[in-house]
Amino acid sequence: MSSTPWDAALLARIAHLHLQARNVVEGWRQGGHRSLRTTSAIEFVDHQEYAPGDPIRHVDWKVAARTDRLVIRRHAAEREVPVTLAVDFSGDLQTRGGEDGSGSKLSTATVLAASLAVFLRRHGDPVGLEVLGGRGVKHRTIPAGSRTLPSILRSLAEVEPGGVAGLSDAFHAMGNRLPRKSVLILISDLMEEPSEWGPQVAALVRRGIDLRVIHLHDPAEWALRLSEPSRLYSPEGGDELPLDPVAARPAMAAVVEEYVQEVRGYLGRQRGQHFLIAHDAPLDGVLRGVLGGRA
Amino acid sequence: MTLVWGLPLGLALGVLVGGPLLAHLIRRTPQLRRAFGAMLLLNRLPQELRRRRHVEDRGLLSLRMLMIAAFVLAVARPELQWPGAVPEFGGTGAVVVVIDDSMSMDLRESAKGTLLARARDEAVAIVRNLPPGTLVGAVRVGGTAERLTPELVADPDVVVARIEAVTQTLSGTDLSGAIRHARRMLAGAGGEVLVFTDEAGFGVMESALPEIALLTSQGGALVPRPVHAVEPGNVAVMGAVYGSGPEGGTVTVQVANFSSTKKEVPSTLSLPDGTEITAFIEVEAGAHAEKRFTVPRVGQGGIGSVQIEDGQLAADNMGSFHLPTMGASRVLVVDGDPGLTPIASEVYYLERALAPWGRTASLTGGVLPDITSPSGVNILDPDVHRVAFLANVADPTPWANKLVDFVNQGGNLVISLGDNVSVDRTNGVLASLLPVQLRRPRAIAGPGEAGVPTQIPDVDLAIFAPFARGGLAGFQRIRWQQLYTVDPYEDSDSVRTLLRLENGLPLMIERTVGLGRVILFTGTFDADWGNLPIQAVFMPMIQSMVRELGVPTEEANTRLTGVVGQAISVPVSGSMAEVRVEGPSGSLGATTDGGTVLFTPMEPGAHRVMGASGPAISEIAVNVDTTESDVRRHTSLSQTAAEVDPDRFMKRVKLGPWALWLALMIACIQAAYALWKQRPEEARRVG
Repeated sequence: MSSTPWDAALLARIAHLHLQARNVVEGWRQGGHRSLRTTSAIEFVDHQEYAPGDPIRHVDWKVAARTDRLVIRRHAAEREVPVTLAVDFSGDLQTRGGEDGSGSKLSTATVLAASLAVFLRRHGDPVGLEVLGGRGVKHRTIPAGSRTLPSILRSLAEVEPGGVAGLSDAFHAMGNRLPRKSVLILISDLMEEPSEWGPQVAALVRRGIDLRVIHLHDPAEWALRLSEPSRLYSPEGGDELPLDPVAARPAMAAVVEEYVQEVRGYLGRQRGQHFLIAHDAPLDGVLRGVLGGRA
Repeated sequence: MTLVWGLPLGLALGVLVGGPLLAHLIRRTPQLRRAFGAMLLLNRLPQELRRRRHVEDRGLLSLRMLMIAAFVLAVARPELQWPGAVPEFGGTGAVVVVIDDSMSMDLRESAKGTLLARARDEAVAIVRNLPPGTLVGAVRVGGTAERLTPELVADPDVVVARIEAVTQTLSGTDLSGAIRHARRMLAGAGGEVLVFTDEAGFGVMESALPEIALLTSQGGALVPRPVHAVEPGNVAVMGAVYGSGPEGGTVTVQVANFSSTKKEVPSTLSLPDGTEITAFIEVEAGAHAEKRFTVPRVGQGGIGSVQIEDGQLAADNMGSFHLPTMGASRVLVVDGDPGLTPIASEVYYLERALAPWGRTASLTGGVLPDITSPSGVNILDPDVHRVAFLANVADPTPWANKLVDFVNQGGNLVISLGDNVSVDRTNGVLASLLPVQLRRPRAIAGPGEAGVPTQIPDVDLAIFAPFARGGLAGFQRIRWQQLYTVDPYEDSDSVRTLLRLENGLPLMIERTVGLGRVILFTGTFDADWGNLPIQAVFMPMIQSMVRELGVPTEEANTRLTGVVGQAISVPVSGSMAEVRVEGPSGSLGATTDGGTVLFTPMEPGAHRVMGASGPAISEIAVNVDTTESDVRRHTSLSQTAAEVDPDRFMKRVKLGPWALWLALMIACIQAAYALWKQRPEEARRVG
């Protein structure tokens, strides 16, 4: 990791992006975002499938006539949206699945969080931080604000991996604490049972919080790229597991596939967006998606 | 084949040590421990995958398991044992060489000569190579075993000369006697008995078991030195016999094939008058075959022979057999009371019973009776007739002596009575033949009465054996109004009652006289005194009686059989002064003992005991011992001896050293393999 927790080159690559909230928000400060509420003379963004409860007047009847589908025209409105970065610093983030000494999920998560914080502040969005798991950090929660960047960067610099993320409790707590109609960007490996934390996502949605999850994973771990049998253990605790990687590899692929679908199911049901990214993959693509609000 | 563990405890210990070691190798926990960030996913793997212990290298594990197993085997010192070993001659200081010179040793192999020649050569070679000072003796086996050296001698040349002088015999194998001689020569002082034999003959080796046991118990050791043909085979004449009764007409020859291939051998039947009949005999491998030769209806009696052609063992290619004079009636019926009408005569009924198909048909089988009056009894000839019936003959005085001679020489006489019989004369001149003295005719039922029925006979008696299948009740329908009574008597070795009436009166009494038999029938063979001739049992009873009496008596003085190498005793009546024995190759040495001539034939064929003049006193058909013809190996001498001393005759292979070598070899291989596997791994890690 470089001396600054953010990646300057990365920031340069994504400088042209604007954070665009998917949900229409009512900003209490005028920002660079566009509000879907101001429908006239407002720039058209895209169509969305009609759902019961959507205003009938937004239905695009021309498209309906052509395609026999009911869709709603969506328009952008520039608004200021508070963004909270929830970063998972649990023990599992520090592992390196590969045997070639490549970087860990932890470094990627830190770079991502710092980059996002800097970028958002440059564009005038208030940014906050929630540290999940981890040790040695003074401020685990930094509410979104316009002068929080130094604190955020300091916390990202001083936190050490450890403990568990406790996603279920974290979702519950943030659902009660975060401002309505804000954006929550979660950076985590989601290595906790989806059946435990998934239902808590609803608490966020009820408050109109736009949830965007950057799901980090280590491809070497998921593919069990181990050359010899090993006793595997989790830094977060629990039993060791002697494992023959060759024998388990075929079954592992199916387990991964099932797990990802489960995660997407829980998030999709609450309109949360899921961005699956390998820790060693280029980050600009995923940032473009996260900031654009399109998974 | 058995597996013996020299140290069974070692096997158990090996399993105790090797078992956990193998289990550890198979189920050992991986040494490498590493943090893993996706344990959530691993915990979702199927249970069996999560519990599975890894076998790092199956090949290496297999090698190591094999290595441990081999070490365990080496420690347990296994030994594979199976019977059949031929113990080596060990040089004990006293040796008896037993040479089998029985007939089967004459088996020839084209390039190697006879088995006896090989046995002699091997025995001589061993004797010549004995350590100086070794005491040696020799015994031969053929016929009756005998010592070649009276006792053990220190000079091997003497024994070698005796062994080289052993000639082929055509006798059987007296292995038991030979081992007895050898044992006695060793005199309980221990030593070895080397037996050179072809082990041929079914049961021959087993017969020596008691002597082998004695030899072993006295400290001796049997050392079999088998001499075998590569592919033993032999076709032999097992026997030849003319007919089975007075109706004869064929010579049945039995041939055996003691080889593994089917054979067809040419054969020639030679009759005493020089007639030769040739035929091919086909016999399957390991089987017997019968060939029937039809002989001329008229021919000279004597000893015939059958000869086959077989090159491997020639000694048993010939079989000799007795042939009676053919072409004449075998039954003479003397009609003592010719009736006024045909059916008033005993002869009428006897002729119907003896030749129911008529005289012409009897020429091809059945019995052809000669009918004569008492004045014609002079035609009675033991070579021609087997059975003579005296039916109601009044006075046998003129030819009583001829009858006595006839019976003494093996002829058989049936005397039936009647009104014509003179009791005094018959009792007088035939006293030496009659089973019991006659008394008088006696009426046993009143006029108009049904008569006294006959008892049901004992079917164990050969004459009545055919009735075992049915018809016994017919005897009770035979009823008698009159019968001859006889003096009181008791059954003895020579006299027995064959049949009685219900009231206990004897009806048929048999007496053995000389080599023949006499049956006294106290009734008549016509319908005067009873209803016998018109009962259903009459004809089969007469036929059975003639068949039983007509079979040539084995003990008949004139027709004896013998086996080569076995002593034959021939009773001779009259002067013994100029008695001699003639064999196929000339005169034989014979001894006399009282009224008996004793000799031992040394070759097969016709042997005759001759007097000073006249025809042969006796003819003996001599054949070889067919036990010797079976040249196949049945039970080896080693197997037999192993029953007494199994330890010496075990073949053994110690597997322990082999297992140790195997273990060491595998240890090296697995070490090299492990190194080879390890180096690329280390190189990769360092890189």
